[in-house]
Amino acid sequence: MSVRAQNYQISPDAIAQQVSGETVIMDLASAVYFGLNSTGSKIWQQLESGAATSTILAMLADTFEAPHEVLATDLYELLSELENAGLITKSTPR
Amino acid sequence: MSYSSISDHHAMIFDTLRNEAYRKAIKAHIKPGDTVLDLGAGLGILGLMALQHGAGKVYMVDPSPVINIAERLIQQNKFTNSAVILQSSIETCHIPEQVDCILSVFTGNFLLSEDLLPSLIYARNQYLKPAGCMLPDKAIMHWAPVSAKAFYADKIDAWQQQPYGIDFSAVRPFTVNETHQVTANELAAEYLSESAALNEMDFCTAETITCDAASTFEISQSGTCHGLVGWFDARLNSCWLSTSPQQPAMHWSQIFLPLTTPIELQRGDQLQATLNRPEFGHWTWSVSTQNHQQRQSSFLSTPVNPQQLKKMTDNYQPRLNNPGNLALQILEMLNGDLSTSEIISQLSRSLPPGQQNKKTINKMVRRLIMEYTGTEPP
Ligand SMILES: C[S@@+](CC[C@H](N)C(=O)[O-])C[C@H]1O[C@@H](n2cnc3c(N)ncnc32)[C@H](O)[C@@H]1O
Repeated sequence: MSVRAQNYQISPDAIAQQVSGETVIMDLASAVYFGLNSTGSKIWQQLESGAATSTILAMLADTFEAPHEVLATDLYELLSELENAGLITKSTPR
Repeated sequence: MSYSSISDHHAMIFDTLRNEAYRKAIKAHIKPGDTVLDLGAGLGILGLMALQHGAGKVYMVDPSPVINIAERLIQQNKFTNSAVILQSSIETCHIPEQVDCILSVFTGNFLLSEDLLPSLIYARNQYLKPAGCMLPDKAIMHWAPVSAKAFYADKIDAWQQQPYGIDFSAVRPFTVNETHQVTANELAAEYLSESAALNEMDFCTAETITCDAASTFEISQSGTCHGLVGWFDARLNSCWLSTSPQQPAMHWSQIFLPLTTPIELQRGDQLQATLNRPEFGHWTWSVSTQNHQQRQSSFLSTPVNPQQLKKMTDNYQPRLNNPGNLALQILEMLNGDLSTSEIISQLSRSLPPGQQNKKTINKMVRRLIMEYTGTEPP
């Protein structure tokens, strides 16, 4: 399975709060806070609705003019950061 | 609570039920000549009781200025055994010896509110003799699902009305995630099941003060569940003190944890509930039945400002702002050679015109002097 096909789900330990377009996530397990800017927040909302990584990437492509590869790299970077923080976990692709 | 005024202490001093229990325990467990730490002494009531019952020496520690009144109480009551008053938090003071007993009332509502218990653990590790005693030495939390129709209508659903023609409904999601401090009378709850115990804590051995627990409630009374109510019992070595809503009231309140959506429960149903609270963190509670699940958290009860949040994250690289630079400059001047007025006037002259707000300088200088100067602990 390629990394790109990897889908994610929000960890049951993550609680998110939206403030003026940005998102603050608290990890119950570690009591550590994590901040997302407005783009990160849109990605988080997609994750909340159970979107596949490819769907999130398509949403980003619709929103931003940047080349696909750049958007993909940014998205995977954020996803792995969230995963390292324990806020999302890998799920099997649907 | 700030504990800085007498009125903050009134309810505790006149809580006879609590104080009689402490007095009995002090009488039973403090031996003549014992050295005692009255941790968070307030007006010194527990330390004074210890002196009354023959303690040889009592250290009374509290950052609140009311601790200075304890000194007068010692004189007024003509105690000749020795007492040391330290206006400081336990973490910043120095006690030159180990003690036989630590007296404290660091058990907040539903035990963990106010986050005083980590300071008790600190005091124990730092100052308690190996065989020393702690009063209280144990505590246990309890909770139960309740129906509290009138309270819920008043405190939660009231935000859905439109008083003065203004729609306040955006407040409801915040208040439903708040922990509500209530008395049994205010909540007027109907209990839908037996209470469950959670998070038994032994203060003699605990290292962290957290809660991460789950309970299953067997519903014994059908009704609408509006939330859970929580309280605690503390053990004063040989007797238990209960802050249960079903016991005579003391100065503690219970805590009501509301549900976003009240749920109908039938006798025989099972309700699963979880409760999580890290040290100095937020309360998070969830309930689930066979076909329903919801979670609330005090994290969602106050909007976090993104600027503030950045400062809370681990990868933030802090840099002093203008007031920070001013504070740094002031701290460097607190070297024992300059008087307060000299510091203020030197600073006012040295700062660039835009930053010469004398009131701001005055306030900051005095605050830093209060906090960071004085005699070193012995
Ligand atoms: C619940 S009151 C108890 C006061 C008094 N012992 C009584 O029973 O009436 C808790 C007290 O602890 C003090 N306190 C809070 N944090 C403290 C700390 N870190 N070290 C020492 N005292 C503290 C507060 O100022 C407050 O007076």
